[in-house]
Amino acid sequence: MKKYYIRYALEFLVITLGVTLSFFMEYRREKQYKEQLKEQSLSRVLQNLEIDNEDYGFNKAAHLDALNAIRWIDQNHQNVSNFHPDTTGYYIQLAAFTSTTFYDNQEEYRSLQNSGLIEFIEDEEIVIGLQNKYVTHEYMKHLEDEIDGFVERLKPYRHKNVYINSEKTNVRGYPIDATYTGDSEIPLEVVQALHEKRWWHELYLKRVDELISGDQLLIKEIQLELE
Amino acid sequence: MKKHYIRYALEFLVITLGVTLSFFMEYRREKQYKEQLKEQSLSRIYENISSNDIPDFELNIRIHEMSIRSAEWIFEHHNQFTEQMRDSIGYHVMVVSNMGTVLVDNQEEYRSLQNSGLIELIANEDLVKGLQNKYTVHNFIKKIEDYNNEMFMQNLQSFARLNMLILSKESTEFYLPVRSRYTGDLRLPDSFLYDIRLKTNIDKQYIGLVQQRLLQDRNILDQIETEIK
Repeated sequence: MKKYYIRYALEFLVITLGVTLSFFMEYRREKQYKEQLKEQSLSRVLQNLEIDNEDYGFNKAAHLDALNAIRWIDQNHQNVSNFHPDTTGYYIQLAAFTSTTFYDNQEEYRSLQNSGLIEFIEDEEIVIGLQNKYVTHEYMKHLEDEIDGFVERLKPYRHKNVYINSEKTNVRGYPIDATYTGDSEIPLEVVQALHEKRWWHELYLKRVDELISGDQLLIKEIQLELE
Repeated sequence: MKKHYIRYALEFLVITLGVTLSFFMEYRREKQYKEQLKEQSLSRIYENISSNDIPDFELNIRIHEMSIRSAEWIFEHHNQFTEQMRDSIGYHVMVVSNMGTVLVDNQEEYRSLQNSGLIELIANEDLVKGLQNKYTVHNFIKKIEDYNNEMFMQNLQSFARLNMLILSKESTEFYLPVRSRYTGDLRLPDSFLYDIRLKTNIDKQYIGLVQQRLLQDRNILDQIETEIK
């Protein structure tokens, strides 16, 4: 009887160990595969971050153009007749018309998120960083919508007082060949609207700078995760 | 005793190999099934791009080019409108005021591919990036169209409605009246010219973006064909 107990106990052990080992090997294979997919995905996210950086640069330059133009109008709105109408037209056009459209490639991040592979990222900072980044992106788009509101609000003034001479644009594609046809003084309500617009541009620039530093940090962390 | 050790060792080996082999066969079957689904999905995306997106882009380019041509005609002649037929002026004003586009793309199959995780089975990395980039750019194209429509088209259409007489019930392929006559002042308001100028700028940027998109879509089609083979 004792012989049978030992025999079946050993059988039980052998079968359990064998099956467990097989499951373990399958688990290891699956884990390696998901790690590989995660790394592939993170590499693509890294490339997306680098492209976003270029977009930030472009948008930042456009908003700075608008701020410079608003500053010029702020300094000279009471005596624009001292300047050539083309100069005044140039600044009014840039100040009142400049807005940007930030478009980001969220596809790989969404794939990472929807497939569950995001859970394989060991560095918690990367996960939080990515989540915050894309939430901030939505906020940036909202800021751009606010600025578009001012572009629309200033349209009647532009229509009456600025004449676009040609299709000539600056390096960022904004039309700049414009002639001012209005009075010697820019109305106060227009200057006020530009002051408000300026506030939104400054907020946008602050957020873009935060995004740029955040992304630089994310890039380093992702590179470490991939090593 | 040694006989028992050998026996149990062999039994252990047989069980481990047997279960591992079962897992391997299941893995192969699953992979084949996913590959089949991936190819089915890519075929549908191929169809979407070749039958829907490419013809839509080509049409939209034509529409924006028409608008640019009419805008250029207006800029060239607006100082001598007294020498032009009101029907000609009417045609160009009608075109420039009404020619806008709305991109309607079918992203469903791509989203299914993405959300199901099957996109990870695509061996060609460039194809994956190409598809991701495509749909990102589509969103940007739609944004430009919305901007164009909201910033300019509404004003231009208001002007056209007040200053045009429709002379025929028949319409062209783009649903513009075959004959329309301009009835307004022969000196176009500066605001109208201003909006046309800015709209034309956007039309040109749109065409550039969509032409680039067309090239890239054709490239994606080639890559899908290779992936499916």
